[in-house]
Amino acid sequence: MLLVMALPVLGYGQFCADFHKVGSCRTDLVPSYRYYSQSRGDMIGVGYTIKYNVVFYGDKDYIVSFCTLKNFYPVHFKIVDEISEKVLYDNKEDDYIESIGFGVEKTKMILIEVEVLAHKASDKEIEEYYPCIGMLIQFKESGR
Amino acid sequence: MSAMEYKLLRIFVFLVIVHVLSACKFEKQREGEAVSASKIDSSLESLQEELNILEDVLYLYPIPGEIIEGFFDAELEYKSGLVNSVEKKDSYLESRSQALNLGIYITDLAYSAKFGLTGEALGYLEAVYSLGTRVGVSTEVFQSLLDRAKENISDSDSIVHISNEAFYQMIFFLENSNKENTLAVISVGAYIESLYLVLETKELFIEDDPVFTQIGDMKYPLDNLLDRAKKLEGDKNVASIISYLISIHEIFDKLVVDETETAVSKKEGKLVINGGSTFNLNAENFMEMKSAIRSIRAEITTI
Repeated sequence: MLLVMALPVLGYGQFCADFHKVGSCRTDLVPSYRYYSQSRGDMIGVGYTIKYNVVFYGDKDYIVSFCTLKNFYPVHFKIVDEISEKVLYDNKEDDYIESIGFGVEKTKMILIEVEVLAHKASDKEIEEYYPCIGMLIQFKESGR
Repeated sequence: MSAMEYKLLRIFVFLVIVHVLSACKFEKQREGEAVSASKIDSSLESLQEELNILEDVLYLYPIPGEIIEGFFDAELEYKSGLVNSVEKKDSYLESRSQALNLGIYITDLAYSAKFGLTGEALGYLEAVYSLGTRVGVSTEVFQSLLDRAKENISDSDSIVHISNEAFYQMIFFLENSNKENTLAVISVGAYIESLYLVLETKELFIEDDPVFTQIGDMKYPLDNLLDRAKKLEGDKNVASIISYLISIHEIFDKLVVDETETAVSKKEGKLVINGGSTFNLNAENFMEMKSAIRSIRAEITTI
């Protein structure tokens, strides 16, 4: 109850802002990679799609991981070229795997679209909750 | 009624109940006073606003520490006398100049930390603290960082980490207290200072120097800053800095672009995103950009 009373003061999304650091995304941390500041935690609803416009720098390898609350998995995400709108990767083809590693040859703007499919959530949960979604991005220089 | 509206209505009813209960419990001194309808309205508006934001594209801000690190890992050397003096911090009296110079100081903090000038970095952290609190960032955000910086003054890696942390914490605080406008202005200051430090470190244009490719790459975070600022241009401070971004953008628009189709391939079992655009600077672009950034930066930092 106190938490809900605090919501208008603190901002609803604040409770999710650190989710990528405290949620199960942490299990994807790789020691040889570094935390990329474009990582985010946000509030999401079932049926919503969040689109993040992220700059990925050239000659770097990235790992992008997603996490949410238990019953709201799987997370569906797409990596889209911002200019051509061409889908470069869709995790639906990989049975909704939660993490993807890739290299980037040239710096580019990428659109990451994410939604929670909530296959295990009850109708009541889907109706009443806005779970958090975490996007953890890690990077390293290519070839290191 | 759509599913989303139904969900919002349920939350609205819930908030009404919560506020009625909290009014009963905590506001005995205001007995008989009606629950503030405007408070509930603003709660609902705030929730609706956040959901609307999530329906849109989120243009993410570049972190000055990462920009500085990216450039100065590439054989660029420290150049003294470039950073803005911390002595000026109390002279910025308007909210616009405070936010812009906060962005400048936070970049100078990252720059000093990057080169192991921990004493200087501490001075910038104090300036960031001072201006940060004046633009509405909670003192708690910076106090623990300042304490940690003082304890680890001899450890330059810790200071680099703390300087990045200062920016993350600020983004976190401002985004979640509906001060996106302030964050947009701070980010523009930080972006301009990052470019200023790099351009002023380079005396001459040298073809094939990777630093100039990196400068060309700065068009991408600029696009994000501009798109986000345009969404917030109802705010007078944001509206006033859009002209800076447009004038820089016009210079980037003059660069020759090498474009290849973006495609995905597999290399040794790893996914690789190939192709895209490279923005190529020439000597003329370099000098024009250097002069424009120098002039904008002078306008921002001059008291």
